[in-house]
Amino acid sequence: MMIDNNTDQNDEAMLNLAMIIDDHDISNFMAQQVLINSKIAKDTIIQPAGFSAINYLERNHDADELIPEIIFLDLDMPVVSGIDFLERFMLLPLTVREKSKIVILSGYDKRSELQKWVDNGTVIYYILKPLKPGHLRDFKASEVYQKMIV
Amino acid sequence: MNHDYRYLNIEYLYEYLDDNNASLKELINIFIPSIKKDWSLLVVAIENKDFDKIKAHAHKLKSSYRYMGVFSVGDTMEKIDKLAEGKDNINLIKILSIEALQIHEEIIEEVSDFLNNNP
Repeated sequence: MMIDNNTDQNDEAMLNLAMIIDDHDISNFMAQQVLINSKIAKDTIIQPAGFSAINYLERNHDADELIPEIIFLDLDMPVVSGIDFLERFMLLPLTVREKSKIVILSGYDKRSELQKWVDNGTVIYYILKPLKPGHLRDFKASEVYQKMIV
Repeated sequence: MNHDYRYLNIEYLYEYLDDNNASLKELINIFIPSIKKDWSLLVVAIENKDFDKIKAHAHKLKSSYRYMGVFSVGDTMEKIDKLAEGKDNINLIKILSIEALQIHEEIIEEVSDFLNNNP
């Protein structure tokens, strides 16, 4: 797990904690850089696998400051895929499910497979890789993000 | 500073990295071993005609090249990814991978040159 602190915070409204779940080193590095530069969240945690992310959320479910408000989730990972993660996420304590909202970050367009998580409010946004600064500018301008920072 | 490379798009990467040279070097230092590992896994998967693994490794390489701004090789990897999904056309997959591997060697030379000139 890697945590990076966004030190240039300037009073701009930001989330406290974001999590990136992806097994791809380059994607993680770039996503983290773009997240820092976009000032989405003050801190970023990287989880290199779906199972380690589930373990982290289970272990820390009662420590509010360690639960991310937003999770950037890759769908194509070995062992525990993004879809597997979503299934297991729904079994996590309510404290986690209510607080963490999920943005899908995938190289494939699999929106049609995610309808039930969109309908229940877990998945709030979809970004096709490669993640670019413009994607996060659009996300920050979106209604879903604006609701999160109120 | 000369950023005139055939494949490596430094200006594109600076846009991502907020013009931070240290971050760019860090990225390249992640890119080199990561891409070499994924290429070796792809080559083995092609030799074994293991289409599921070809698809998985080509998909990962596609993402890596696109993040680096090398879209031509990223597009070739996408073609391999799609061909592997059909579990056919191993000969075309081989041809595409050989072409991409030749370009990959030049990309490695370019990123190494960038690191050597930006100690």
